[in-house]
Amino acid sequence: MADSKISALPASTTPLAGTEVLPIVQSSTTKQVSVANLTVGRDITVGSVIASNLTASTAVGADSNKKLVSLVQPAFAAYATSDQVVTSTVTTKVLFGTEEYDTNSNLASSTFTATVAGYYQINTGIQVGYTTLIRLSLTMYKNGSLYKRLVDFNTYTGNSICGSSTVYLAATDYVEIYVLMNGTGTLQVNGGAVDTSWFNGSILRGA
Amino acid sequence: MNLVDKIKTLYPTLVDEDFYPEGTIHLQNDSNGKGDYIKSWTNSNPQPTDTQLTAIGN
Repeated sequence: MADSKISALPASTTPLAGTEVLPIVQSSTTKQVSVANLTVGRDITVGSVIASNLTASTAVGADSNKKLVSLVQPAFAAYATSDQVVTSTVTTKVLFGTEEYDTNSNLASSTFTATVAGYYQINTGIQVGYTTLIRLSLTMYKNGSLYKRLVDFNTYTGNSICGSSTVYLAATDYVEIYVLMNGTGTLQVNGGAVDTSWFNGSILRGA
Repeated sequence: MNLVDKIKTLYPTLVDEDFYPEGTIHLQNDSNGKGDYIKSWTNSNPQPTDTQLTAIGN
Protein backbone atom coordinates (compact mmCIF):
# COMPACT_ATOMS: atom_id res chain seq x y z
CA MET A 1 0.00 0.00 0.00
CA ALA A 2 1.36 3.34 -0.97
CA ASP A 3 2.26 5.74 1.80
CA SER A 4 -0.43 8.32 2.38
CA LYS A 5 -0.66 11.28 4.73
CA ILE A 6 -3.51 11.17 7.27
CA SER A 7 -4.55 14.59 6.07
CA ALA A 8 -5.06 13.10 2.63
CA LEU A 9 -7.55 10.48 3.84
CA PRO A 10 -11.26 11.06 3.30
CA ALA A 11 -13.14 12.58 6.27
CA SER A 12 -15.15 10.19 8.40
CA THR A 13 -18.87 10.56 8.92
CA THR A 14 -19.73 11.99 12.30
CA PRO A 15 -20.87 11.31 14.87
CA LEU A 16 -18.87 8.09 14.96
CA ALA A 17 -20.74 4.86 15.55
CA GLY A 18 -18.18 3.57 18.00
CA THR A 19 -17.34 0.51 15.91
CA GLU A 20 -14.63 2.28 13.97
CA VAL A 21 -11.12 1.08 14.79
CA LEU A 22 -7.86 2.84 15.50
CA PRO A 23 -4.33 1.39 15.56
CA ILE A 24 -2.57 1.34 18.92
CA VAL A 25 0.66 -0.13 20.24
CA GLN A 26 0.13 -2.37 23.26
CA SER A 27 3.03 -4.29 24.81
CA SER A 28 5.14 -3.55 21.71
CA THR A 29 2.51 -5.05 19.44
CA THR A 30 0.41 -3.05 17.04
CA LYS A 31 -3.27 -3.79 17.63
CA GLN A 32 -6.65 -2.30 16.85
CA VAL A 33 -9.18 -0.86 19.26
CA SER A 34 -12.66 0.38 18.55
CA VAL A 35 -13.53 3.96 19.27
CA ALA A 36 -16.13 2.73 21.77
CA ASN A 37 -13.52 0.77 23.71
CA LEU A 38 -10.92 3.51 23.72
CA THR A 39 -11.79 4.66 27.26
CA VAL A 40 -14.01 1.86 28.54
CA GLY A 41 -13.20 0.97 32.13
CA ARG A 42 -10.72 3.79 32.52
CA ASP A 43 -10.93 7.05 34.39
CA ILE A 44 -10.53 9.98 32.11
CA THR A 45 -9.12 13.37 32.94
CA VAL A 46 -10.18 16.36 30.90
CA GLY A 47 -9.98 20.08 31.23
CA SER A 48 -13.69 20.55 30.66
CA VAL A 49 -16.62 18.89 28.99
CA ILE A 50 -19.07 20.62 26.72
CA ALA A 51 -22.15 18.45 26.29
CA SER A 52 -24.59 19.51 23.63
CA ASN A 53 -27.52 17.73 25.32
CA LEU A 54 -27.25 19.86 28.47
CA THR A 55 -28.93 23.17 29.11
CA ALA A 56 -26.65 26.02 30.07
CA SER A 57 -26.68 27.22 33.69
CA THR A 58 -28.64 24.26 35.06
CA ALA A 59 -27.68 21.58 37.52
CA VAL A 60 -26.58 18.24 36.10
CA GLY A 61 -27.51 14.74 37.15
CA ALA A 62 -27.51 11.25 35.72
CA ASP A 63 -30.48 9.53 34.14
CA SER A 64 -31.23 5.80 34.35
CA ASN A 65 -28.62 5.13 31.65
CA LYS A 66 -25.99 7.07 33.61
CA LYS A 67 -26.09 9.75 30.96
CA LEU A 68 -25.55 13.29 32.17
CA VAL A 69 -28.71 15.33 31.83
CA SER A 70 -29.81 18.80 32.86
CA LEU A 71 -31.93 18.91 36.01
CA VAL A 72 -34.93 21.16 36.46
CA GLN A 73 -34.76 22.42 40.04
CA PRO A 74 -37.97 24.17 41.00
CA ALA A 75 -37.90 26.87 43.67
CA PHE A 76 -40.68 29.19 44.68
CA ALA A 77 -41.56 31.89 47.17
CA ALA A 78 -44.73 33.84 47.80
CA TYR A 79 -46.30 35.95 50.50
CA ALA A 80 -49.77 36.98 51.62
CA THR A 81 -50.96 39.94 49.59
CA SER A 82 -53.44 41.14 52.20
CA ASP A 83 -55.01 40.19 55.53
CA GLN A 84 -57.08 37.00 55.45
CA VAL A 85 -59.90 36.70 57.96
CA VAL A 86 -60.68 33.16 59.07
CA THR A 87 -63.63 31.66 60.91
CA SER A 88 -62.91 30.37 64.39
CA THR A 89 -62.33 26.57 64.50
CA VAL A 90 -62.47 26.22 60.70
CA THR A 91 -59.28 24.86 59.16
CA THR A 92 -58.61 27.37 56.41
CA LYS A 93 -56.20 27.36 53.50
CA VAL A 94 -53.77 30.26 53.77
CA LEU A 95 -53.50 32.43 50.69
CA PHE A 96 -50.13 33.66 49.47
CA GLY A 97 -51.18 35.78 46.55
CA THR A 98 -47.96 37.53 45.63
CA GLU A 99 -45.15 35.54 44.08
CA GLU A 100 -41.54 36.49 44.70
CA TYR A 101 -40.27 33.84 42.33
CA ASP A 102 -41.50 30.61 40.83
CA THR A 103 -38.75 29.19 38.67
CA ASN A 104 -40.73 26.35 37.13
CA SER A 105 -44.26 27.78 37.26
CA ASN A 106 -45.38 25.27 39.88
CA LEU A 107 -47.24 27.70 42.15
CA ALA A 108 -50.83 28.67 41.44
CA SER A 109 -53.65 29.73 43.77
CA SER A 110 -51.32 29.26 46.77
CA THR A 111 -50.83 25.61 45.84
CA PHE A 112 -47.44 24.20 44.91
CA THR A 113 -47.93 21.39 42.41
CA ALA A 114 -44.84 19.40 41.53
CA THR A 115 -44.01 18.63 37.94
CA VAL A 116 -40.62 17.20 38.88
CA ALA A 117 -40.71 14.20 41.20
CA GLY A 118 -38.38 14.50 44.16
CA TYR A 119 -37.79 15.48 47.75
CA TYR A 120 -38.75 19.04 48.57
CA GLN A 121 -38.10 21.40 51.45
CA ILE A 122 -41.22 23.41 52.22
CA ASN A 123 -41.27 26.37 54.61
CA THR A 124 -43.97 28.70 55.83
CA GLY A 125 -44.53 31.41 58.37
CA ILE A 126 -47.58 33.46 59.28
CA GLN A 127 -48.30 36.48 61.41
CA VAL A 128 -51.68 36.30 63.12
CA GLY A 129 -54.16 38.91 64.28
CA TYR A 130 -56.58 38.35 67.20
CA THR A 131 -57.76 39.66 70.56
CA THR A 132 -57.35 36.37 72.42
CA LEU A 133 -56.26 33.07 70.99
CA ILE A 134 -56.81 29.72 72.69
CA ARG A 135 -55.84 27.48 69.77
CA LEU A 136 -53.50 28.04 66.87
CA SER A 137 -52.56 25.20 64.55
CA LEU A 138 -50.47 25.58 61.39
CA THR A 139 -50.40 22.56 59.12
CA MET A 140 -49.06 21.38 55.80
CA TYR A 141 -51.42 19.51 53.53
CA LYS A 142 -50.34 17.11 50.80
CA ASN A 143 -52.84 16.21 48.11
CA GLY A 144 -55.71 17.65 50.15
CA SER A 145 -54.98 15.81 53.38
CA LEU A 146 -53.07 16.67 56.54
CA TYR A 147 -49.40 15.85 56.04
CA LYS A 148 -47.55 17.56 58.91
CA ARG A 149 -48.68 19.56 61.89
CA LEU A 150 -46.08 22.32 61.95
CA VAL A 151 -47.05 24.44 64.95
CA ASP A 152 -49.79 23.84 67.50
CA PHE A 153 -50.51 26.08 70.50
CA ASN A 154 -53.31 25.76 73.03
CA THR A 155 -52.81 29.33 74.17
CA TYR A 156 -50.94 31.79 72.05
CA THR A 157 -49.97 35.37 72.78
CA GLY A 158 -47.29 36.02 70.18
CA ASN A 159 -47.24 37.47 66.71
CA SER A 160 -45.67 35.04 64.26
CA ILE A 161 -45.13 31.33 63.88
CA CYS A 162 -43.23 29.34 61.29
CA GLY A 163 -42.61 25.73 60.40
CA SER A 164 -41.08 23.54 57.75
CA SER A 165 -40.84 19.97 56.58
CA THR A 166 -39.38 17.91 53.83
CA VAL A 167 -41.85 16.06 51.65
CA TYR A 168 -41.62 13.64 48.77
CA LEU A 169 -43.71 14.78 45.83
CA ALA A 170 -44.40 12.76 42.73
CA ALA A 171 -45.32 14.72 39.63
CA THR A 172 -48.83 16.19 40.15
CA ASP A 173 -48.62 15.90 43.96
CA TYR A 174 -49.34 19.22 45.64
CA VAL A 175 -48.87 20.96 48.96
CA GLU A 176 -50.82 23.73 50.69
CA ILE A 177 -50.74 25.49 54.04
CA TYR A 178 -53.75 25.51 56.37
CA VAL A 179 -54.38 27.25 59.67
CA LEU A 180 -56.89 26.74 62.44
CA MET A 181 -57.52 29.52 64.94
CA ASN A 182 -59.89 29.71 67.88
CA GLY A 183 -60.23 32.89 69.85
CA THR A 184 -61.88 36.25 70.08
CA GLY A 185 -61.70 39.38 68.02
CA THR A 186 -61.08 39.32 64.31
CA LEU A 187 -59.04 36.21 63.64
CA GLN A 188 -56.78 36.68 60.66
CA VAL A 189 -53.55 35.89 58.90
CA ASN A 190 -51.80 39.17 58.35
CA GLY A 191 -50.50 40.03 54.91
CA GLY A 192 -49.36 42.89 52.79
CA ALA A 193 -45.61 42.61 53.21
CA VAL A 194 -42.99 40.18 51.98
CA ASP A 195 -41.89 39.33 55.53
CA THR A 196 -45.27 38.90 57.21
CA SER A 197 -46.86 35.64 56.04
CA TRP A 198 -44.94 33.60 53.52
CA PHE A 199 -44.60 30.26 51.78
CA ASN A 200 -41.52 29.01 49.99
CA GLY A 201 -39.63 25.89 49.07
CA SER A 202 -37.37 24.12 46.62
CA ILE A 203 -36.38 20.68 45.50
CA LEU A 204 -33.64 19.02 47.53
CA ARG A 205 -32.95 16.11 45.21
CA GLY A 206 -34.69 14.25 42.46
CA ALA A 207 -36.63 11.05 42.90
CA MET B 1 -74.69 32.59 61.00
CA ASN B 2 -71.56 30.67 60.07
CA LEU B 3 -71.33 26.91 59.76
CA VAL B 4 -69.79 26.43 63.21
CA ASP B 5 -72.61 28.31 64.91
CA LYS B 6 -75.23 26.45 62.89
CA ILE B 7 -73.83 23.11 64.02
CA LYS B 8 -73.64 24.30 67.62
CA THR B 9 -77.23 25.46 67.38
CA LEU B 10 -78.24 22.03 66.17
CA TYR B 11 -76.16 20.29 68.83
CA PRO B 12 -75.86 22.64 71.83
CA THR B 13 -73.66 20.23 73.79
CA LEU B 14 -70.81 20.58 71.32
CA VAL B 15 -67.78 22.55 72.43
CA ASP B 16 -64.90 24.15 70.56
CA GLU B 17 -62.67 21.17 71.23
CA ASP B 18 -64.97 19.02 69.10
CA PHE B 19 -63.84 21.11 66.12
CA TYR B 20 -60.11 20.89 66.83
CA PRO B 21 -57.79 18.70 64.74
CA GLU B 22 -58.00 15.96 67.37
CA GLY B 23 -61.77 16.40 67.62
CA THR B 24 -64.54 14.60 65.82
CA ILE B 25 -65.78 17.36 63.53
CA HIS B 26 -63.45 18.91 60.99
CA LEU B 27 -64.62 22.00 59.20
CA GLN B 28 -62.58 23.30 56.33
CA ASN B 29 -62.36 26.25 54.00
CA ASP B 30 -60.19 25.87 50.92
CA SER B 31 -60.23 29.62 50.27
CA ASN B 32 -61.65 29.02 46.82
CA GLY B 33 -64.82 31.03 47.27
CA LYS B 34 -66.95 28.03 48.18
CA GLY B 35 -66.96 28.76 51.90
CA ASP B 36 -66.81 26.53 54.96
CA TYR B 37 -67.81 22.89 54.68
CA ILE B 38 -67.74 19.68 56.70
CA LYS B 39 -64.52 17.90 55.80
CA SER B 40 -65.10 14.93 58.09
CA TRP B 41 -67.55 13.93 60.80
CA THR B 42 -67.04 11.14 63.33
CA ASN B 43 -69.05 12.72 66.14
CA SER B 44 -71.65 10.56 67.90
CA ASN B 45 -74.32 12.97 66.74
CA PRO B 46 -75.39 12.36 63.16
CA GLN B 47 -73.88 14.61 60.54
CA PRO B 48 -76.40 17.34 59.75
CA THR B 49 -77.86 17.47 56.30
CA ASP B 50 -77.77 20.52 54.07
CA THR B 51 -81.50 20.83 54.63
CA GLN B 52 -81.05 20.97 58.40
CA LEU B 53 -78.29 23.53 58.14
CA THR B 54 -80.23 25.67 55.70
CA ALA B 55 -83.30 25.56 57.95
CA ILE B 56 -81.31 27.11 60.79
CA GLY B 57 -81.06 30.21 58.67
CA ASN B 58 -78.51 32.92 58.36
